[in-house]
Amino acid sequence: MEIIIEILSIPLVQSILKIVFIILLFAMPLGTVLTLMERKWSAMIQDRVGPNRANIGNYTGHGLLHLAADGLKSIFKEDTIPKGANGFLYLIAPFFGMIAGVATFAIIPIAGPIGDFTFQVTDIEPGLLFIFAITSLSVYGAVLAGTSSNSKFALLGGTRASAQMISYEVFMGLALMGIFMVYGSTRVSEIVDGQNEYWFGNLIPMWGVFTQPLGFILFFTALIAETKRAPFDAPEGESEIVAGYFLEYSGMRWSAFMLSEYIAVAAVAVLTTTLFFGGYHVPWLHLWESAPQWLVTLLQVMKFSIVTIFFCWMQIQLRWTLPKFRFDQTMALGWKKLLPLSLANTALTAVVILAFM
Amino acid sequence: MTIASGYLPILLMILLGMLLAGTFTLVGLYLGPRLRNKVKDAPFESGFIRDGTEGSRYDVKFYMTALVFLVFDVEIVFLYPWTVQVRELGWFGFTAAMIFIGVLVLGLAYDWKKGALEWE
Amino acid sequence: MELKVKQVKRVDGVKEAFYIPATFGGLRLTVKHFFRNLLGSKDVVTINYPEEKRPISMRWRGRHRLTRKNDGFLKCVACYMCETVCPSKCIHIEAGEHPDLSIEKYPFRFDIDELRCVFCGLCVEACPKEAIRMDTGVVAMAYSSRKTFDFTRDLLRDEYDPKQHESPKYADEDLPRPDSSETALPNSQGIPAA
Repeated sequence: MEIIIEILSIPLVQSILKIVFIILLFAMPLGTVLTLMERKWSAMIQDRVGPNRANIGNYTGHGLLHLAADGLKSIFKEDTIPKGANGFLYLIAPFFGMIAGVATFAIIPIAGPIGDFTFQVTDIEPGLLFIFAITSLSVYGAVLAGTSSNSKFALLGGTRASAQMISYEVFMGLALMGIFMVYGSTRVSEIVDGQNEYWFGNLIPMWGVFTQPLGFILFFTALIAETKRAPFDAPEGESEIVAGYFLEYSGMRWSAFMLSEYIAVAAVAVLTTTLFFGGYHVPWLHLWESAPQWLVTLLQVMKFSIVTIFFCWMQIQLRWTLPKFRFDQTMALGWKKLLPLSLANTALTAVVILAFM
Repeated sequence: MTIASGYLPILLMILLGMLLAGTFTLVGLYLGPRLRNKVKDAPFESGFIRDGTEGSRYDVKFYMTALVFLVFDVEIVFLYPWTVQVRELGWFGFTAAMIFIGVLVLGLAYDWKKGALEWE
Repeated sequence: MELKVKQVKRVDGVKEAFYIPATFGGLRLTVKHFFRNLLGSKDVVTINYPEEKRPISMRWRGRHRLTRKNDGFLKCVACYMCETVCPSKCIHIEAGEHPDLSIEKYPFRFDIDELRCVFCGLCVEACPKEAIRMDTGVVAMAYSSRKTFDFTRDLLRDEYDPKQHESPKYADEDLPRPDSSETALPNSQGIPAA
């Protein structure tokens, strides 16, 4: 027993446990279920039935078995490599999206710390700067997939993806400057704790969405563009370049792209939750001072999960609501509207902070 | 927490991501069938017979976007220290940052006027 | 002739430039549908095909059937009207001599290649005896081999409504039948079916 506790107190072992918990029990299942939920929810939005056929005997689970069916199907699909493709780059392209999606969860706290133990894989000082670094990595996935496929459509998708993603990275960074100013840190745990303050006594929590409403809209827009989902899906452009940069992929490698897209959706949701919706902090819970620690942690995990799932749902809802931007419109929206707006937001936030605080 | 121990978990996460993608690739390679033929190996172009190569000729717009991106990304990197220390630096820091942003906005205005941001 | 062109006036104001109000307008609609369907599939118009079938019109033309008289004989008198009128030449009839001398002819073979058929219904209109109909309501025919689409006389005749005729008993059961191996027609390309 003592040996177990001793082993568990090694930081590396704790980190591994947290990684396993956050990735394999939170991020991956969420991403996987989202692939089905996208289809099911879009069916509800469009008055359809959605997937409901995969079955074991008479059990269909309202389409839940499609997850297993899709997985099995793509495992046993042929893995094609187009003629003239650059084999090595073609091979490693799916890795980038997956790494970017998974590594985002490294700095996300899903519940408050108990003593020395944090529910966060690592709390590095640069914090969100790491997020910018790692999301830039997913550009490589798109570009490498596009250029290595030896296909015109894939190349078009890859170049579009690169231009769009590097553009929206700028606005993502600029949109977060307000948050950095308000909470005075780039470290995620400090930003989350800063959102546990309240205005007017205990009336309104100082969530990012209230302190930075414009920043929230800009950040959310930029992140949706980063994941290359509708309405910013010109790089994938189903109706023109078929699937864009991962057009030539098939079988499990295609699934890797698909899964990393949905993990990115989940990552966008957790980032939005953490930075703009108080993270794991349950609003007004501090008023109940005698709350037992386990209940507080449980409530925090629940609040975090609910808000995360809400934003996953929100992204899917937006995808099936908004018409797609043409590529020139995407770029014009970014450089001509979001960029001046986010610069103005930065300046305004600075003025308000300096003048009133 | 030393710097190394803070970043070690991130390395582990990256390795986990590579492991996942690698598993996906290997599983597909070994369990899927391999029935190749000429048509299947050809790049997909909506059923049209391939004409020419894509080569490496891109629209110059992509280079322009990359340049503008570079400028603003560097700008952001320079602004982060100020945003974190905005209270401590006060109005002096604000003025400095605004001058810096102003120069870049001039650059943006120039790009805009020259048509570097137009995608027709 | 002057074409009437309706000009749609594009609103291009500040409200549209910011996208946000329009986004919320769209979200209101989709969220409404989402929650209505989440709480009990009210708006879903999908017909779950194999389990539910869409009601088809009385005039809907499906697979052919050969009707029978009250005594069970086929009404068909092998007059070749349908074969003649058929635009896709998918009907193939061979007349046979009927043992009952009051009946002149009967179809010894009556084959329809349903793959060639264009479901125009001209055979039904041409028939003087109302012997052929397309009211089986068979919406989709999906078989794995071409041969299965060559419907012989007996297959066509067997397509009856089981609710009306409980145990099919054919009065011409004793009549000479074509050898079962010959039932398959050469198909349109003249290639004998496998």
